[in-house]
Amino acid sequence: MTAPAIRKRSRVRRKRARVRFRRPGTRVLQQNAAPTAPAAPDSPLFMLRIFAILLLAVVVQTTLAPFLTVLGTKPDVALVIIVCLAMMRGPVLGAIVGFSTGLLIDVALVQTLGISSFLFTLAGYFSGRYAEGVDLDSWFPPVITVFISSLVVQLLNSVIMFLLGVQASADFILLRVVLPSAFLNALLAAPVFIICRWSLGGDRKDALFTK
Amino acid sequence: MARTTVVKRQVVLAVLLLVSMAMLTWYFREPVGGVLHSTQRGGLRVISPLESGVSKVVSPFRDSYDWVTGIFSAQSENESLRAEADSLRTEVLSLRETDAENKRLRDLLGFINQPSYPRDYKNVPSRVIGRSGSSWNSTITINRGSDAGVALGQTVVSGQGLVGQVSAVTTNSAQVLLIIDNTSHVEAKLQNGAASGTVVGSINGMLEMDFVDKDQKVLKTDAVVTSGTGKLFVKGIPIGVVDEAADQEVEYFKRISITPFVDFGRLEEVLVLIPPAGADQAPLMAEGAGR
Repeated sequence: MTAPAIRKRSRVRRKRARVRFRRPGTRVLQQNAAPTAPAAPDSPLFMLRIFAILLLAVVVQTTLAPFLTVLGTKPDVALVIIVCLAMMRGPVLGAIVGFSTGLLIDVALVQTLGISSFLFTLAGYFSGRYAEGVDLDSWFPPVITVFISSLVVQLLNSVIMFLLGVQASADFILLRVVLPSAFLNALLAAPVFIICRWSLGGDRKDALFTK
Repeated sequence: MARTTVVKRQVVLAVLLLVSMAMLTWYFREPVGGVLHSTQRGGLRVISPLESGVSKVVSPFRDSYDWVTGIFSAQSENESLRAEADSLRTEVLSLRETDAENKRLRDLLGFINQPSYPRDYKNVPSRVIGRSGSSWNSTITINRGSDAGVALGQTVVSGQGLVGQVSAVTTNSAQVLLIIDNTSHVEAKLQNGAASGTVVGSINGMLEMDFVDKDQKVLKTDAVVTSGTGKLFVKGIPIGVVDEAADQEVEYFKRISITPFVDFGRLEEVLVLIPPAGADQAPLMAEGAGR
């Protein structure tokens, strides 16, 4: 076989491989992303990927996010990643990743242990539950889920802080912390969702406890 | 979905939430040296190097972000900084002016403390509020008049030396004829007593000491002071320093060029010397000074 013929044949193979992994109707969020090969939920590769994403979430949240201040508030990148993962991989994995990420963030930021893990567990679980009934091929579900999750997490966080004796006015918390943070996180939702889907590959069939 | 699956999910959620709540409560209640606090510190020791490494890696990106966000705020920041700079510039000018005034007043105070200051004289500190508009005469207007005790013929000095003599008085201002005026005549002597004469002004603002005996030895840098002869000026007030002593054959007297101590172009504050009551005050102006 001549060299041009070999090159043409390998091009065709690559094209076929891409077509095989593309789901029907995934134009919006998968148009520009060629997913990696899916991994089984209990495989070492899958766990490695989840762990890498979890670590990335913690590192980004503790090193980069504090400097990305927009309108006086900081994005909660870790929460956005947890919600996106939960939507793709189901509530149980969302809860576990949320718990682990929260715990690491509490350690890294020397906060009261348990607060972030509690809130992120809730966010991961209920985001995963919500995503089971929606079409993830649109940009809208991740954005609205991240927005609502952020609102709920921030409000619950405020309540916990209040119970722990931290005093702040309600309008300040609502207008300067909760709402701006929720909007900022919602802006990050679509790109983070695309990156998470690309890095994990596959779809929600690989999620834990779905059958 | 199978019921067991739902139960498993809920169990997982409940366990994670319970663990979180337990950690929260325990952490909050235990002392700083407790188990959870120690564990947290241990975890932090592990995570910190990772954070540090990532922080270094992302530092250029962070700087780029700061640079980009800085561009958006640069315009408004520039305007506010310009406004602040204008305000500060005005303040600096004001402070410099105050500083210069302070220095001048200190000079005046220093003059009062000098031995040459006539002890029995009072002084009226005055501010220069006007200058002669013509180049033909050299006068200043001060903001003190007869209400403050200023009278015709009184000696006016600054921190550096002799300024002139009061040539006109109103209730709240007075005109002072400067010694550099071409009609001014001041009886003077060298401070070392070697020679005496009359210091006259000129239209070019220089001083000359005339009627000095040719036999007298005059050295450059000799100081010239008022002699008090005729009581037109207070005795011993510094006038200037000898700049050049011309000794021409055709002249009967020696003429000495004098550089005045006072910078007349920058006069801001002066003292009017008021003689003690009953003293023999100079009733007349120096010749030609009464216009």
